[in-house]
Amino acid sequence: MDAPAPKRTVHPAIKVFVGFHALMVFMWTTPHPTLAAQQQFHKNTAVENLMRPKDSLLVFNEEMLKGEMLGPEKPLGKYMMVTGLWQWWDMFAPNPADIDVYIDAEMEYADGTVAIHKYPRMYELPIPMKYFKERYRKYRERLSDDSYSWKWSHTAQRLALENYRATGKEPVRVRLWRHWMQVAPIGQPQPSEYSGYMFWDYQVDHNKLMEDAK
Amino acid sequence: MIRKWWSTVDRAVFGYGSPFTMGVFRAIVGTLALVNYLMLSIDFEAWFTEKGYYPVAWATRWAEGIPRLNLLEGVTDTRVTAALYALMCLAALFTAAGLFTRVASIALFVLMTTFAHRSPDILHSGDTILRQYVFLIALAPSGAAFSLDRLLALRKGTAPVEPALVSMWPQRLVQYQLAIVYFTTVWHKAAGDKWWNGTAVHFPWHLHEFDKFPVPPFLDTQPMVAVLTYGTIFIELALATLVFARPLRKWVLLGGLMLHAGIEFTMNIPLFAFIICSGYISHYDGEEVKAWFERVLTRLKLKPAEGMVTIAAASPVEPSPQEVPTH
Repeated sequence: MDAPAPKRTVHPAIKVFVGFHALMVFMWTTPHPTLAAQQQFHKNTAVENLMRPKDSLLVFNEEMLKGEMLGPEKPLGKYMMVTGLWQWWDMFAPNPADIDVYIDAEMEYADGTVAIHKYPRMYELPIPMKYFKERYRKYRERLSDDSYSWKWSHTAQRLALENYRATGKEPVRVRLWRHWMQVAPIGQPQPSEYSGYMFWDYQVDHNKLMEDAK
Repeated sequence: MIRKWWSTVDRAVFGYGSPFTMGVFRAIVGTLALVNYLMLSIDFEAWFTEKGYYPVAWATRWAEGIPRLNLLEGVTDTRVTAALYALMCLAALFTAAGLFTRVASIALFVLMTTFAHRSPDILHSGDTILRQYVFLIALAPSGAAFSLDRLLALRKGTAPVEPALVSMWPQRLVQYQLAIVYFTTVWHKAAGDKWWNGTAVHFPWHLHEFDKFPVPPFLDTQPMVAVLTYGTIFIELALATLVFARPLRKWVLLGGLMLHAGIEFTMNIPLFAFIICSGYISHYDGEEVKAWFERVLTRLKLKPAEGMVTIAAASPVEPSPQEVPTH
């Protein structure tokens, strides 16, 4: 009689790693609990929390796993951050955006004339270029909100450089404009006009402009 | 009972099978990574130099004091950045071709993570999932099939005609990663009233910054919007759950392909549909992918290159301990 076939398996360390990786990915991608759910969790008894499994899981994940045990400051918690495995899948969630936004820049030259410098706007680009230039939309998304105001001066300086290269005229001031349009609910006429306002006024750094233009 | 359950899980995750699926997956992902970085290269100065929109110092600020894998930390010399960028494209090319696969895929992962951490503001979901995929490809013996490495080894006579079976855990992690993407995106959406009231898909169609091909007007009316909104949720949830039931797998994946084709047609989210759908192949065993591949080649009257497709069919006989690869 033949001997039984050997059991095929992998090293236990690999099993531990796979389990750890799977846990970290799940923990990292789980939505944040609402503030109300967190407060309720701490008021409730253990039994009451067991009766609210979804909220309890989210709070436990947020406060214990991501916080106390495997948070970014803890040795094991660095796994996702250091390696670039961090991830978050809230595409079109919790609700899709309903405001269409684009930006452009008003260039003021030394002679007092003014011109609009277009920051690449996907809507106006031919389809192949949309594919290549989409990063501009993404950058704009992480720029135009007020919480990113620390990026505005540098962005204005870069736009001055692009304008100088394109026109040969040296801008002395750059004014960043934000334009937006609220999408109307379904069944209602869609607006066609954008609202806009200037959100940053920047005096161009002449020396840096000349240095960068070399 | 727990022991039986664990045994089933153990076999499903760590059992051995054909390396063909991971080989084809590697070729697709490597190609997509190459296309992605070649497309991005036309704006290299804008995104990766001190003259551009995103200076190196911002990456340090973004990192919030947490160490990050970033070979460009503090590097302001454009020549160094450009050299690493070129190396990343080369690593993507080698990964796609399966040449020096292990080294190339590890280099690709390190470099794409470096550039992600160098300029995180321009990343979209496609970049993020691509990074996860390449990480798993680098861990897997993904050059064991459908690769130049194998072709060269066969010609030299240093590789067996039937390559050793490999543990399936990297492929299972690709499946898991996909399930996580779809499951948690539904979870996030569950907190949004527009997904509940059946109007969510109407809004992105009117964000002109995403415009691609026009949405047929009849789709932007009720009840079509509700059907598409709830249909999106249903398909995403199925891609995280029902896809693991073999009789439903094909139909669920078809639903996923249709969902992403619809998004790709109407919205400008470059490469995302192709990148995420490339992971769908992980739901098929190597033998299934190989059989499909050979059917296509036969129909096209093409003869597959020896070694590119030639792999071991899942052997019903357990190999000897010497044949069992260890990782």
